[in-house]
Amino acid sequence: MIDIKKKIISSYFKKKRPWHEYFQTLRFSAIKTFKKKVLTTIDEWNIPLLNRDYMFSHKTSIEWKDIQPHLLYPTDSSRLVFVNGVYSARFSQPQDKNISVFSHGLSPEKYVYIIAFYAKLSSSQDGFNAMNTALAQDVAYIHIPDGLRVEHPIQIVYFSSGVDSHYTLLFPRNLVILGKGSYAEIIEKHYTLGSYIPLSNSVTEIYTDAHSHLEYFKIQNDISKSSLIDQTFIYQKFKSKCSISTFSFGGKLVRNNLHIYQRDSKGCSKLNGISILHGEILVDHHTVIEHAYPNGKSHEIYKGIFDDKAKGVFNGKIIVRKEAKKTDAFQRNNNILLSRKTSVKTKPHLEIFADDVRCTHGCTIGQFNEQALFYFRSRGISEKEARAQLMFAFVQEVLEHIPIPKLKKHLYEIISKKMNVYLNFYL
Amino acid sequence: MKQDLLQKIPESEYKYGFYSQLDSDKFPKGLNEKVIVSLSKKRSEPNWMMQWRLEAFKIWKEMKEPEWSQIKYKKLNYQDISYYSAPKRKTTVNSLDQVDSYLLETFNKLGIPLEEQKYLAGVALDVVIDSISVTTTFKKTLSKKGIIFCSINEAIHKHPELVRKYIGTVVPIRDNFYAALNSAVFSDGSFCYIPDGVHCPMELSTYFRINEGGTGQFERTLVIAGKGAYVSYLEGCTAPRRDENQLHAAVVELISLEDAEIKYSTVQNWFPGDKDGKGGVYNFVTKRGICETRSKISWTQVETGSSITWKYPSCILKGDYSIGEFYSVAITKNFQQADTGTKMIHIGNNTKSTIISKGISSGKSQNSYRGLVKVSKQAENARNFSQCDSLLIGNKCGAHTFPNIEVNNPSARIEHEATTSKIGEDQIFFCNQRGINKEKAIALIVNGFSKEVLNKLPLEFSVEAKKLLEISLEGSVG
Repeated sequence: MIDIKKKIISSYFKKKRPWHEYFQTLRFSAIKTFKKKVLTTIDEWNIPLLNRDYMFSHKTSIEWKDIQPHLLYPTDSSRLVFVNGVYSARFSQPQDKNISVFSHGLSPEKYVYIIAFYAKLSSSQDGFNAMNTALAQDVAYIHIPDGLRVEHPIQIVYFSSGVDSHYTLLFPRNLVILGKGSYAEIIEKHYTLGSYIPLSNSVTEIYTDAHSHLEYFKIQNDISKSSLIDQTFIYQKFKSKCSISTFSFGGKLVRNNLHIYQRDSKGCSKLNGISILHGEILVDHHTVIEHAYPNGKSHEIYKGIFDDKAKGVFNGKIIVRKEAKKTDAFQRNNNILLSRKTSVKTKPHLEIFADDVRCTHGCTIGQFNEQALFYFRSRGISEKEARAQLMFAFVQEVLEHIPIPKLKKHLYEIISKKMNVYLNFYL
Repeated sequence: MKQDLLQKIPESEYKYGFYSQLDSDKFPKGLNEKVIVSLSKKRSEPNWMMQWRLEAFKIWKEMKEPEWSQIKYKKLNYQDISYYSAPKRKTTVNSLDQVDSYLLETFNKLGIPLEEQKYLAGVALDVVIDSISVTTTFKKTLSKKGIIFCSINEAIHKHPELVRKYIGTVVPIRDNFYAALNSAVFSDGSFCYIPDGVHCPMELSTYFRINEGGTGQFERTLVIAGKGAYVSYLEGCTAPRRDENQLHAAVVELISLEDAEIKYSTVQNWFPGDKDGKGGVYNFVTKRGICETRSKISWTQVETGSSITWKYPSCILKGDYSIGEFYSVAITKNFQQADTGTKMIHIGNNTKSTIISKGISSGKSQNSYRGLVKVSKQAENARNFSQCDSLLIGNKCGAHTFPNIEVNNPSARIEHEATTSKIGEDQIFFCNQRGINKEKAIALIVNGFSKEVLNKLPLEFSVEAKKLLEISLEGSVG
């Protein structure tokens, strides 16, 4: 484990550094934090992943035909494509001057604005986070100006490809800033082309200014060898609305750390999650919602269906600070276990320091209702289809709120494919 | 109005804060092998017991104080505590007449039904003051049925085979820091054995009191219910008002054999510290029970005292069709901290568990529920229902919920729900309209809030607990 750490640190010093002075200092302090911190963090997360001899990504050739099937909107709408951590101008389609990419070497005059936000939220105390800050190359940067309503969803797609059985480290990074009263929909995806073994260590920072509204979708449906550590930090201002939906369908290890800081009153946060897992996979959702100002709202629903050897973890924390009067927080976690080898751990935690609040949480773990299955069967519906329908019904509560029809359809397709059924309707 | 009432919170005094001038036999402060050997000798214990203690002490020395909990406290100096203190006695007492008159007075102050009252109340009682069991009532009636109810020290002498067989089987020495400490230095406690098929005709009750200053109390309770037996066991505790923090580190082990049922109720009212958070008892207790096939263990607790409560009465549901229950009301005020909950470990098939936890915090107190429901791989058809509700009174207190659920078998059905809220203005308004003043309204609402748990207590305790709730809440209207 120590070896890989050394390797990461030495690779940092080997890298050419044409960066702006600000980023130079930032990265240097991050690598120092990483040197100090990462091992304890790994222990805490219980991730044996770094026990491998990782390489750093290198250039490979990817053609348009390879990536096209993975794009939701191949023609219209803005799109940022990264290949092996490097921005690909060839495949991207920014369409809008507000959506851009910055690498750490660009001129500071242009990015004064970025400096005020970049790496401010992500806690430097965490090893993985520090690793990303020190080594991330290109950053997807989306800035929606005040009052702008972006019509089409913006896609951020990370592709990676490599030679067989090579362990590769990747560092995706996103920075999203929503101006006052703006609206945007963002879809983030990670795909592995070919059959190698990547570990993506991703960090996303989101700032939503007053009255803005963000709909953010993470689709995690990668090949079964890939792993993803995703950390997202959200900073919400007055009356802003932020909805983060995480759909986990594939991979080997998926870790989602979601931190929401409501930093003004009347903020509204929505967290949705669906995990439908099959095979040897661990999906670990850790969410923290911190209410620090009055009249905040949060609504969290995570649903999981676990089959085969899939393992699920849900660790949801709601913190209500003393000043956060009239907070209304809701949290729910429902799980269905389908196989004898699955296991689920759930920790819905509440920490409340204010008295005039309403906080509820609930969680359930169980199986399909046998009576409901029998009802289907007695009406001549095959067991497979009956199960699929019940599964759809189970996750429908989350799916029905998706405002992008095309994405909704895409998710239905993924789920039908996973269950190996064809349903000619959308619930 | 609100302000006045808030100020009144600390004024509801701790009514058991007196100190009785009893001659006591007390060890000098400090803990080492010598102390343990002389403690063991003092109790004229057999050699195996002494060895067991010494082993525990060896393990304890290597262990570190746990720090994972949410509670904040000044660490204790374990060398600054006297590990043995007992009211001085000349001879063994056979009847209450021979008991020190000061002692009896203490009992009267506490309102414990001892002599005449004991017949009326129909409760068999074992009283532990400081570290020593002073009296056990109703022994004869019980022994007719074959029930053994005595101090653990007596049990070590008279029934060594039973004690040796069961002690440390549910809470092993290594279990945690405080359990190891208790295993090394426990001086007395209660022992109860119900033979196969016997339905214990009365409630068994233990009463604990810390009297001396500078001491800790380390009692050990062992309850064994034989096949098809039934017992209801009650436990109460108080301590004098002191500026220092006293440690209470008890271990309770319950063993429920096939088809047996144990009902264990606690009304915990150790000195909670004064209004500035000074003094009070640290209540660091390990309680656990093991259920064999078709047996049942039910924990009921009312926690109103102690400056810090840190305990998780647990059930290991080992046998098929076994049932574990946990009902708890925890009330904290001033600077009290309570971190309590339960662990339900489902191992057998078709096991069931129910958790109902009610937390009420006021003043500057912190109240946490921390629990674990674990369904192991081989446990088919496990069923659990958990409900944790918290009520907040005033805006300086905190209520936290930390449920942990681990399921490794797909046939399990687990439900958990929790709510946190303050007392509704509309509820109080409703009472006010009907001529019930604010304070009474709060008492009414809190009583209703915790009714589900209070109803599980044996009748005589239920009355006491309701009163205790009212005293605790006196003036705590927000």
